[in-house]
Amino acid sequence: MKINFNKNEDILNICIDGRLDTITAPEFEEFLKSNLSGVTSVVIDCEKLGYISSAGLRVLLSLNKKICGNLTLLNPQELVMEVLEITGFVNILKIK
Amino acid sequence: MECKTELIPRILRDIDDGVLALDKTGHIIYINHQCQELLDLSGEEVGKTYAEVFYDDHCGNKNEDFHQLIINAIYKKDQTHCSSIIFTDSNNKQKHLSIKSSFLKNEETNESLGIVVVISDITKEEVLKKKRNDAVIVFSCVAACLCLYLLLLAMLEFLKINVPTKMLTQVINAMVFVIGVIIYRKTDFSFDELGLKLVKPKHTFGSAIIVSLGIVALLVLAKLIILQVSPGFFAENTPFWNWDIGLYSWVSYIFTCIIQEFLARSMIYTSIRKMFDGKKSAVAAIVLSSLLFGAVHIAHGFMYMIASIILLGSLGGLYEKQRNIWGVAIIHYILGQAACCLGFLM
Repeated sequence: MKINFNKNEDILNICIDGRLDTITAPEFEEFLKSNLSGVTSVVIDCEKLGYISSAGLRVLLSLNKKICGNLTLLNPQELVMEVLEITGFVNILKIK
Repeated sequence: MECKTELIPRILRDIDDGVLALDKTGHIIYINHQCQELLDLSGEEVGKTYAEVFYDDHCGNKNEDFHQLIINAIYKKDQTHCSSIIFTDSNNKQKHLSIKSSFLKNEETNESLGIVVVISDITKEEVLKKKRNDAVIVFSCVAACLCLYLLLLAMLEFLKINVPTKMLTQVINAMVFVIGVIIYRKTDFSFDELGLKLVKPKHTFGSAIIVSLGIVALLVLAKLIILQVSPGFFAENTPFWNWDIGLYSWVSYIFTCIIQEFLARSMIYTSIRKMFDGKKSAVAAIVLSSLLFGAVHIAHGFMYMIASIILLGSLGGLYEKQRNIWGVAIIHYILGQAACCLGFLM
């Protein structure tokens, strides 16, 4: 998994390339810990996110809580979108 | 057709397994009573989303394996996904569940319909499996140590090295200590299961003292009879009751008794009891633990082995009743010291 990011004032833009699974989710969590100070909203570009596991969903849910529901996912792939739909995450996260 | 419409809900209601169905938007469209009980749900889940019900603050983060089976069904739609998981409910109670998840599609239009999950409670089977596995570990350790001990005795005899039996007793104690460490590290046996937890101390100690006094009285009677029948049986010029058996023996024998009862009851008896099923398991455990305990005393000679087997066997019933080693350890101590004071043992 590769993480590209940039901070625009209090908005953190992230692009995830690869899989967000049991192995990479802790790595993503660590990244968030280091880069979340002063951030009020996060935008994750999921165009290159090929797979998300339950561990990945947990990290997204936890992040969404930390920033008071200001997490937005952009361009999720078909299967990732299906995961978000069937698990009911489309009602919790903002997806564009 | 009407019959068929009635049939499926009836089957889903009456089967032992829990059934959960989600539509493609993640809303729960069906959940049977068994599933609600297994997952400790309130009964008002139909119409809510999966995340609302299963990703709540209480247990959402604890059940990743459960969520993963839902996700697997999305990624590999043509397969049924089976797994055994540990599910933690909202009361933090853990259950072993066998889960099967599969993706539903309309066979004609290939349109996605949702996911169906079938759940069985395998907690009892898993716990039993674990207990038996633990029992096998303990029993294997005991068997291995016993074999090594016999090998050591054979080697000492082969090399013509005469080792005092007191030292060999310490070898057994050391072996028990090693097995104890293995049990602690490798098994889930609780103090209670190993008979180390003292339950009803008054009753335990009271019974132990009464039984001990009864057996000591029998030993005294036996000595009186032997003195009449075969006066040369005991060493000459020794008092009828010799208190002078040494301070080391009075103190060290306390630990020896506890360690040996731990070996016989906590390890051998408990593991055999877990491995056998049925009404006779207690009898089998008492007999086998007595025989193994007798075998451990091979260095002390035939009569000592027989005495050990009888002692262990006769106290087996008391242990089965009390389920802790402390009562039988007291009897073991009093009886062993009385046998020494009376001259039955050196």
